[in-house]
Amino acid sequence: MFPLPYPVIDIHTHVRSPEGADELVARGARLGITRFGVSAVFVGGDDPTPEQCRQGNDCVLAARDRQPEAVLPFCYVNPRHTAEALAELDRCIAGHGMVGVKLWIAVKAFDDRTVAVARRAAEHGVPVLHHAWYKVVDGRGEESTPADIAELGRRVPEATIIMAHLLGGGQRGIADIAPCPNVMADCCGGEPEVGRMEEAVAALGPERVLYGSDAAGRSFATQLAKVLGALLSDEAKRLILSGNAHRILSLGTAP
Amino acid sequence: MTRAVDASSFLGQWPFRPSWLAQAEALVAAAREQGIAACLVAPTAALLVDDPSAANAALCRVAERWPELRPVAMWNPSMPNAAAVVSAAAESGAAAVKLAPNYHRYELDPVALGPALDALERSGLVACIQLRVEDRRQARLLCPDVAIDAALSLAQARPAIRWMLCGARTNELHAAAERVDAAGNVWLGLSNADGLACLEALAGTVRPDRLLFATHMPFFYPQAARFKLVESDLAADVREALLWRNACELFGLDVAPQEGGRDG
Repeated sequence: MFPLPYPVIDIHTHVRSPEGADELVARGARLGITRFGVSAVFVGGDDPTPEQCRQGNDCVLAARDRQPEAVLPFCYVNPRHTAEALAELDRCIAGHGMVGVKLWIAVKAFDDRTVAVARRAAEHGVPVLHHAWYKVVDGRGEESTPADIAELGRRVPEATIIMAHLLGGGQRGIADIAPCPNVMADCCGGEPEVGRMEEAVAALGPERVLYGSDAAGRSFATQLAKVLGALLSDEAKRLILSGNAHRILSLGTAP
Repeated sequence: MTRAVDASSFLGQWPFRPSWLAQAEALVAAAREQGIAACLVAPTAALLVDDPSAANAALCRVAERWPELRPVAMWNPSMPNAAAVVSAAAESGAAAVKLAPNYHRYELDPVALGPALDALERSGLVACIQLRVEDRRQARLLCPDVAIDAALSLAQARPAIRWMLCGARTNELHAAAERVDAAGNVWLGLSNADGLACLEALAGTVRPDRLLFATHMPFFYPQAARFKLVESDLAADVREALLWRNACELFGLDVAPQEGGRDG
């Protein structure tokens, strides 16, 4: 099974320290995962200050310095502090070559402040990876739903939005984003439930689904099983595991 | 690929989350593809009724056609027919009984369940406690998880019964390590273990002879259980113990191993 005939890109991982990148690379290699979208959401809890975001982003940049071939750094900001967030995007993307933006649960996705961040990301030509979930219990902070993500996608059609946790959104979440061609979904988080990837690909097409793990909180393995265990064509799996990430991160043609 | 024993799965459709692995033919095919020589399956339908007898009997009829399927009888010890269900399970050759106290709505109280547990103890069957079936954050049927501490306390109160805890998450598994070690009659399923290199970490804190490979089919893709073994760096004897040896010893199975490899 491993390695697969193409290198796998994990769009959604996190590190708590620069050394965390070494662990991602070592463990990923066992499963053929060679590149990792990395962000630092472990700073400042649900509602981080601009300084905490900056510290987290510096940590991710240091992780890239340790593993320059593997780490694809994402800039984490809190749209509540809009001016600082936009400045941080400019610093990290224009100044340090970060390749994406990560938003979590500080501000709803449809909020004007989030819209401003997404517009700036689009100006820089990078995607926005945004947390979303439909939770029955245990919801947190200003957690966005897939419907909120769809609204963001409609308000900023020039941006590429990646809705995280397609299993957390369930069938309703997939249906929410389906009409928005600029909104994709990653498969990370949640359990490796049978059938959910097939539903997502049927509704969105394989070009709009990405492999992500949410490591290190989740394993690469459980999330990879969602793709490799699913009743999908080999070509669909290749797109989800490699081709789509190459395309939206402008990494060149997928091998 | 090293042969494996799947210590915890279900057979049958869960009405709230359709799975194409729910029926025997598909589940066995998936198990074979993953090198699973024996799959301990309990009937999903029994989770949603008080008396599991009919679902257990139906499971046995299906399992007769598939040598990989080893029936685990669902058991509701709060029901008046609890002793009869245990007897039927033993007579049918069930590998174990499985308790789902959250779905069957009773507490893991060793006093209240005492007579039923006496019958179970006499049978010699292993008792599996399902801590959760699905992620409650997305569950259509609101049902609390079973507290692992309550399950461990019951196991401690009934040391002559061997217990397997199914569906525990990584943090619960780590937290249970000391009590599992002290109890001596508790085994832990790994179906819901997650996190980077989770099995390697767990094998460092929980006695490896107490850990059991489990897929939680048809809810989960069985590849998840296999791939976790690839991600972790485990000594060959630990890998073998997790994959099949511990389960064979616990459930009295006669599954011949195959040569191991790095694919788990």
